[in-house]
Amino acid sequence: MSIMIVAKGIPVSEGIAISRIFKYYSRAGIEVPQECKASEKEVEKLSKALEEYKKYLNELLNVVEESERDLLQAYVLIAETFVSEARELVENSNVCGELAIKQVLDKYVELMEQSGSELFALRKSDLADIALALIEHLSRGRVLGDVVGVKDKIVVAEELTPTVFFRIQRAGVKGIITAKGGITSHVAILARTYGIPYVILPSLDMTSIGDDVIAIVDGFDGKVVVNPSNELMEEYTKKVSILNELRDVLKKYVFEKAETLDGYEVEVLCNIGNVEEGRVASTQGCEGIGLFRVEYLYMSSKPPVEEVLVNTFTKVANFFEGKPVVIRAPDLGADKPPPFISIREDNPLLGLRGIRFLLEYRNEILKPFLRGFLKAYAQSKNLRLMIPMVIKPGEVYEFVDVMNIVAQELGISCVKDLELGIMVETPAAAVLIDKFAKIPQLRFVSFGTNDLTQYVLAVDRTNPRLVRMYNELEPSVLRVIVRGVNEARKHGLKVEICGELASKPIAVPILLAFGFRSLSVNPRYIGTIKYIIKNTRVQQFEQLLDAILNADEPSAVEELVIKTLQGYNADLRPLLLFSKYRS
Amino acid sequence: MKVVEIKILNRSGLHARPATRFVQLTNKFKSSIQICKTSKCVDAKNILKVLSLGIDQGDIITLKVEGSDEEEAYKSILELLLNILPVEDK
Repeated sequence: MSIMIVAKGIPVSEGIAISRIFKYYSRAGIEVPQECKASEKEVEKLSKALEEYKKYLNELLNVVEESERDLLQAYVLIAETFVSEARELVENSNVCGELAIKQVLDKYVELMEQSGSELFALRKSDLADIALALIEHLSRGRVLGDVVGVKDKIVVAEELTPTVFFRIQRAGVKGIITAKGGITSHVAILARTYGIPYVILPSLDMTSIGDDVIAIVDGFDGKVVVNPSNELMEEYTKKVSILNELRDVLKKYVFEKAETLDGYEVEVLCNIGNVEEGRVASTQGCEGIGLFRVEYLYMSSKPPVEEVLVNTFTKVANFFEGKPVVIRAPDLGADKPPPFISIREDNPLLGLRGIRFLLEYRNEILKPFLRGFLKAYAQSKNLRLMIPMVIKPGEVYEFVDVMNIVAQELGISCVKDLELGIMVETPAAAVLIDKFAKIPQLRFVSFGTNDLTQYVLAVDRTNPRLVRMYNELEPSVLRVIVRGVNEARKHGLKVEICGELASKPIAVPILLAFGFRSLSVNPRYIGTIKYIIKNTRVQQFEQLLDAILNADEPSAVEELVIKTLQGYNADLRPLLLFSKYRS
Repeated sequence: MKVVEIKILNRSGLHARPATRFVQLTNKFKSSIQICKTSKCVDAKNILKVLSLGIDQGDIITLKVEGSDEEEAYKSILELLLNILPVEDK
């Protein structure tokens, strides 16, 4: 008797996998013989194992992206250290190579634990990974072949290292679930590159899941189902077949111009969170960047120096020559407090963040940021600037004052041509757009629907008990947005949207009917979003606006959209990949 | 033997990529090379030991180079630490 478990995690890499589970344990406890004697050729064997492993790492070096290379180069050096010390052990105490490697590993793991340092973000699991690979080469599968049997299975692990990822990828893994990791981690990027569905499940308890049981990984919604019911199996089997049909179609749409069935052209921009993502986005059909989140630059022990800022902005601007690149001034505070400033707040989401933070630390953070931005802008005129978390025009005026002072210091006069915008993510900003429009510098507004939704609904979107309440299709949220859009258009401001709502296929026809002609989406949804745009008759949805804004529930809004699309036989398949009640 | 005391100038000290670069270089020489911070000395050809020193920007370190190619090794290492890394890793 098996009980179905459904868990909600973080979608990391798109796609759906239905298969049996393969539990992968990282090699903290490597099993090698307690006692063994060195053979005559033990030293030679060690050298050979090292050569083979280095050959493998060098192969990887050729295929991975630049950001991964440093790590692999360090792996090479560590492997050399391991083998050179193991060689001494073999010669002096006559143990076999496997045991010698294990002893060297134990020594360094202890050293790491003692020093308490995270050596270059190297973890114990990295060291164990290298030691195990060497032992494998030494023993030729005698000790273990930990990825044998991975083929066509869903790998469940606490955490994966990049080299383990490559091993399971080569072994034919179908889907991945881990307890730890991040959307921007090495492994996450690799999973997306290789198109392997991946969900991070922080609540994962590996002991509660049996080996070889059937599971579903839904990389669209971030859902994991273990022992699925017949009903769910059927639903997902259908989704997989849709996905297979659509995969090539959606890929093709990535590079097409997005025009609706009734002839409206729509600009599809992308959201990125670092330079590497920008590089990838520029090759994925993104027509510019609608939101560059730069907070990551501020997550080390000191704020970034000017050159780093200039280089970062210039690089991304160059990827998109002639196309817009919107840099958002760092939205620090709230869930992203910088490590170098300590702020204690009872309610950080309503605290010192965004523009408030920037004005509070104007000398330490805002001025250096603006210096970096304006220097980059002087070279790359496709850069734009956006201010986060504003609630009233006064904040923008103050920001502009600081910017003008910095521009003067730098002798940059072109600042008057700069396209400045605000992110509309507070209800206050949404209802004051007519007032913001009077600011001479202000050219555009961009709706940040994630925060806007949580502030309109007073629902913390990270609170697991409120998952069902956080929904951007709540008519209250839609009313705030539509009102803001109308005001902005009336006053000649360009209107964009960069929140997650724009990446949700079911919302796209509504947004187009609201008047949005510029959507900034997650790069991995670009094909899907363009496909939906090309299947939308905007005028049909404009007639539907009253009904949408007067609906009682988000589900009713979704039904209205689907019915309308069905009404003119639009292709609904992309919508079916996403579950009905998304959180 | 050549011994020299220098200040680490590049931004990330001898962590991450700079440490990898440093150890890749020291391994090119036959001489024995030691790197010391606050009187703790380790083998400069062993990346794990170099990382374990936790050398940051601004730290004073001592280099000890001894062997047949010590002159060349000494020169190249100083070039890396004092000229190349501070430009690449500001």
